[in-house]
Amino acid sequence: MSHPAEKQEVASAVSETDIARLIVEAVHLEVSPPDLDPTAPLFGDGLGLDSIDMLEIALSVSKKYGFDLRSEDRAAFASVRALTAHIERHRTK
Amino acid sequence: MIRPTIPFSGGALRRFAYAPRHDERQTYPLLAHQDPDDCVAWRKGAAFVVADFLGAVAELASRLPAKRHAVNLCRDRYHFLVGFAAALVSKHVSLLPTCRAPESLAQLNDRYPETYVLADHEDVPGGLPVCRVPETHSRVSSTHEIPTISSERIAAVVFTSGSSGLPRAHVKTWGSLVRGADALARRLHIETPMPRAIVGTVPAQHMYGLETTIMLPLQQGWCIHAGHPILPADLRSDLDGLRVPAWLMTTPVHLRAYVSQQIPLSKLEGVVSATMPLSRTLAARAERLWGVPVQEIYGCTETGVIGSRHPTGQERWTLCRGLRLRQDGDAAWVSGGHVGAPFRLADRIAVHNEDQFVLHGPGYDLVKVAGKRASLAALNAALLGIDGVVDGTFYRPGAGRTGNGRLTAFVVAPGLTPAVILAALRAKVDPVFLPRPLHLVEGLPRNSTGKLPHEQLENFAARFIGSTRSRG
Repeated sequence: MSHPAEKQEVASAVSETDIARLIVEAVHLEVSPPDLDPTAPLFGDGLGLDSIDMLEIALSVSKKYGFDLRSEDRAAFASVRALTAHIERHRTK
Repeated sequence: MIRPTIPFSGGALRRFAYAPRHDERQTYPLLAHQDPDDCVAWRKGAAFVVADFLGAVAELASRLPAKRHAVNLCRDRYHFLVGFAAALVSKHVSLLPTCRAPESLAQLNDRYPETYVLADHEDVPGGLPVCRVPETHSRVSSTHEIPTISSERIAAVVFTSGSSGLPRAHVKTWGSLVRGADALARRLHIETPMPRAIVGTVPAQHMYGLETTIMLPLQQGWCIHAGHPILPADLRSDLDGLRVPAWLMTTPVHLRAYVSQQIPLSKLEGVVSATMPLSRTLAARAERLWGVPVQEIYGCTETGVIGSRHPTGQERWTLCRGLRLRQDGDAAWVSGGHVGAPFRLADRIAVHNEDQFVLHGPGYDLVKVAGKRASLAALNAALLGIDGVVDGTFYRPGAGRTGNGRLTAFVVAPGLTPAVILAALRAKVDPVFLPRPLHLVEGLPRNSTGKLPHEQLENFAARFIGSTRSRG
């Protein structure tokens, strides 16, 4: 037995563009989401984000996907691609 | 020998009977913990007691390079403390840069002779000798004797961003740090000697972090939480893991995130906020959520803590014991106590009486982001120095707005993209000051003399800010 809402949720997988948009909006980056290299490091030399940005991104992820990021999920913060995969695995909404 | 008779006054007796630990003395002990089994630090279920700590300090000190300046880049707060203490007892000066970029470290190396890096992680730029602070220490000695340090010894050099691009150095003697920690404890009214932990979301290399998460617990005999939780889930589980009540040393940016997520914080006994103004609304929401007092402290890198207030109950700030505040026209000078010689504060301050003042916010030219300061004039000069930028100004959104305090900029640069301008700026200014966002505009509302009046700029900015700042 399947519920229509569940069906719809399964169908809408998180895309890298969704996560690029979430990041750009959360930290006010000067790039359009599709231009964000999904493999570029988010912190350090890549996009140059800092720990306050990490906090903003974690808040947006929690609000939109219903789970909390932790610093031990360091690998998830490596790039847009890594974060997208992590969110897809752990999302509750 | 005939001694002169000294009149025995009640005042003298009271002073003697009270014998304050931290009045101006020649030496101060490294830590105030009394018993070898007292907890100095706590990391994920493991306690490091006085004997562990002294052993670790002696072990590290025995293999420090024969140099003079230690750049302490340790991320773990206990590692930072062991490194800081080992340098101190070895008469090395700890250099505490707030920026870890390779260029910043190279600058330190050029400026300070015989420099090495103390680190607990691999991510250290090359070029300087590295001394590793180990994960765990084996006790090399059974001595429990707590070292005493001359109050005149230079313990640390902390940095502010200088207007020339080179960070400005501020020297901290051991005496000024200990007296500052004592003044802070008195202001926060948490002097009772019960076991207590200090948890911080700010790095130990920042003056506020050094004062509140290292020196305060060290000199009050409290326990230092070794972690550096930033994300709400981390903070929650770190506090859950403590065995004693905790004070949280944080900033309005972090506090806003924790309150907006409504995270429950067990063991919390109090909150301290600094680095940017804390709104009364946010302070009240935090107090309701956790049922603990939220205190706000005011200070700067040059002086350390100057005063504190309880923002839900007081508008005025109370000056730290031993300090003096003097108004001279628009300027306010602080001196005495742990500050020493008079220092002119960059903020606009009205002195109310000898121990109370009102803070009217930063002087017009001063901007503060993420605990770092810069001159608006210097930032604008960097912006205008970029090839292709015709006109432009940085803009600090008003204090009434919520947000994380980032700057924005309005730039006239036909033919350039924001990305190009940002890349050029990144080479000149600390990344925390990069505009988020940068607005390309056709012109700025300058008046007939070419000036950019404050009110015109506010009205101009309102058209952009209202539409882009959706976060609350």
